Amino acid sequence: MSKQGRLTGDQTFDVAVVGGGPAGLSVARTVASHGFSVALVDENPHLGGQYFKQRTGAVLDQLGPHRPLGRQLIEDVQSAGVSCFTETVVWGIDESRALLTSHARSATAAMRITARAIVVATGAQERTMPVPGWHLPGVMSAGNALHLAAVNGVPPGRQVLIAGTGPFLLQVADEVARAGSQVMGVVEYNRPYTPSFASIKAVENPARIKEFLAYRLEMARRRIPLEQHTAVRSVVASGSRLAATLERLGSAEPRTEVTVDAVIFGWGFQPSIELVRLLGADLRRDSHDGMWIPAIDQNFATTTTGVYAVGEVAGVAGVHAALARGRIAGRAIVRALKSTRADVSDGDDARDRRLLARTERFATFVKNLYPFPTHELRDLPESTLVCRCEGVPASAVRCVDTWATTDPNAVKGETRAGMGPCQGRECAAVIQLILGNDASPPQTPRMPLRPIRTSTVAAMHSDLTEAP
Amino acid sequence: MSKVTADVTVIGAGVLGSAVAYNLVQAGFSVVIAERAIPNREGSGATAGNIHVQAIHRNRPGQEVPADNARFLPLQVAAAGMWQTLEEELGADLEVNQHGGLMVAETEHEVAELTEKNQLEAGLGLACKLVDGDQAREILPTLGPTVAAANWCPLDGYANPLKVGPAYLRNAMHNGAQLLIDAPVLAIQAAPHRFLVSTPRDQIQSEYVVNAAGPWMGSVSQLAGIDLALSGTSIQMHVTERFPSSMNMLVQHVGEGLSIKQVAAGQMLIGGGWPSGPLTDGRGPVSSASMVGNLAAAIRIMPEVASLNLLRAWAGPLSITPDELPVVGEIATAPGLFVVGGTYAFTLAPLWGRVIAALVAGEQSPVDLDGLEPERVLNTRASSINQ
Repeated sequence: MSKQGRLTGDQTFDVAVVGGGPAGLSVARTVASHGFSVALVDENPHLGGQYFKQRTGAVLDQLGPHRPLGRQLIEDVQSAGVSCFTETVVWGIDESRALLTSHARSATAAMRITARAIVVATGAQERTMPVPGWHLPGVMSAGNALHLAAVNGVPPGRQVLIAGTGPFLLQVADEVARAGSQVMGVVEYNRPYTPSFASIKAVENPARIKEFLAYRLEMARRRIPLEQHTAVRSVVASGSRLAATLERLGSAEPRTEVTVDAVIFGWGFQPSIELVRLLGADLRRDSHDGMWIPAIDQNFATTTTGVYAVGEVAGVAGVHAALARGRIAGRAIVRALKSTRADVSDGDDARDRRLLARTERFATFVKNLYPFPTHELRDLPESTLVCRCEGVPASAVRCVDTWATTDPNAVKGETRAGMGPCQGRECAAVIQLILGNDASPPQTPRMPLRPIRTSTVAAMHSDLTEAP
Repeated sequence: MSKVTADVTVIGAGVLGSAVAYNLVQAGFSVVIAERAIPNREGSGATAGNIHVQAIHRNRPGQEVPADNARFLPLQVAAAGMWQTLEEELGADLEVNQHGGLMVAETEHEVAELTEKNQLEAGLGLACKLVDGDQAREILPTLGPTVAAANWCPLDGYANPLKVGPAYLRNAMHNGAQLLIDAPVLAIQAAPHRFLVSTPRDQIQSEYVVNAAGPWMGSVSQLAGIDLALSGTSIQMHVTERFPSSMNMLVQHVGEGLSIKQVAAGQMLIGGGWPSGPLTDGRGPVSSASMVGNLAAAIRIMPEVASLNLLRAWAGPLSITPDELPVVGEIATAPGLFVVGGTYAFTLAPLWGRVIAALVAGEQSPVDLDGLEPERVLNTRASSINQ
């Protein structure tokens, strides 16, 4: 039976899981199946996260379920008795480390969740790579395009161009083509599809190779061109359409121009670490991609007692790693909450750890195939917007006072980059790479972690003090 | 270890240290600034940036004693005059706004307090205007219905705290001041007019030391054997998303912790001295209780705030004296050692920059410093320099 949580006042659970994607669902199912009370909180209208996005209503009727495995996991979580709070934003913590939440559509529904263990499963966010014109209407991220196509059944444009780097571009091409867009090209910055000695490692994961081949076959069938080692250098408005300029890297060929209705950029993903930082967890850099992640032990416990980080927050490694991490952390939490560990299977744990090790090796292999082109930021034209919220160009970032360059917070203070509604999620990492201060942790996250109505915060006054 | 020699060592590159350094180099002194981390990143960058001129409210949450308004007012008026020309002087846009401000009252008791305050101001020559609630809403139509009276001060205003300190510092450095960053002071060897200040990488020899270390002012003084009765606290600020321009004045509350204005970027900046969580090495975590209290007051006084999204909250440290007055001057038992800080450091920074430069030069202070001397906050008479 799924419990419907009350949306005001104080609530107490054994475990609170933030993020209803594969990792969060997996933790919640494991912990709840051992009889503990679990709150699962997600800001989206439906559980599933980015990977197991759920279709609803007419789109579901017409297209059928998107990724049925996710549907099953969500049903398991609901039947395990997890209290699911969707459209619920965790925007802060209070002095006693309770989670402060609010409901996305009700300005007065503030809720405070106290739990013995907090699991941060906030996933990953898309990386950005500024290019002249990336702020124009019609330019969108790969994640947005996928959501439009796969969840809403809406083509992002009549003719679209997909550019950036990563295997995700192939999936996006497939989904937007299915939704009815004509994909004029997939422009891959790196050269991952040229066979090399390193590609032999992919053999360890035949399922992934099968997935890749299916996407390539589908692209061939739809005659979608794939350009490797090619970059989109600029996007300009051309009437009501967009003209993208392409450059084949390391070649003297003249640049070419493609006119489309939408340009879709995907540059991979970075862990969403704001909440786990707010909870006081120490950070370290992922040894494979240099991105900042919480320092965790083998059970995904952070340096803050009772706080765990699972899924992409613990390092980008994909859905299968997220599921395994969730199960491993879930069992560890069960052991920590219980005096006896009789009904937690060590055999399951060993199998999951082997699976996880293999999946993480594959993730590293993929990261090496699709490196983020940091060096491109050196040549970013001065007038290119870096922070789109506050309209901060590259030139402003490059001319901060010498004393401020080493400190991401000082750069934010001088340039305003990161002070807008996205709170630095889009620009902060890029700015660090431009200034070469990425050995410092990113800008300090500030409450509220999402913009939230002042009246919602003020309403907590009566709500929370009067709660029974 | 590099050895540096200067006339003056300034400790702290916040707005006070930077203003002091700027005025000292203008007066011909050579200056080295030792900053423990990065300039303007602590209280000076985290403050709400108010230019408070009318007599201050006495009720910052947690404030133990009322400030002596009669003592404060001449200082605030003098500073307000300096703010008027500061952008021109420093050649920088500091987003200075001096379009005046309202201090509001809601209860009968607060109206009485506001009236008394207005009379005190009149007696001290500051022409403020006391109006009732409806008149206040004529001045600022977005004020809420609970406002029963307001005191209008034409000199009140605000500036962008992220710009003021760095502008002073850039000017000081342009004129020869040397900045050492990531240079916390570890030791001070003090003899009259001969100081050796040590940081992890540098030894600075100078004739004068100016301690402008904000919340670290007490611990830095102790390095020189001077025990000052200073405490630190940390207060919280809140900023909304930007919205179309609707006001150009500072609004404060006489009975509660509240200051609110629409800053140049178009956002509402809400403060009022609500405490953050406990201070650890100069930083305090944002308190959700203070967030709730401060925003509830803001919404009551300016109801349009209710429909805005809160974007960010942060906290910044303050250095507090037992009597809530600034501490400015030379330590009598340690000739050549100056301290500057305490209440309303941002508002008074242009003034204290000039005052310290004058005192170091052996000149008369441009304002009367009676009652602000460091001696009054000395914990022990034993704390004199070993000769």
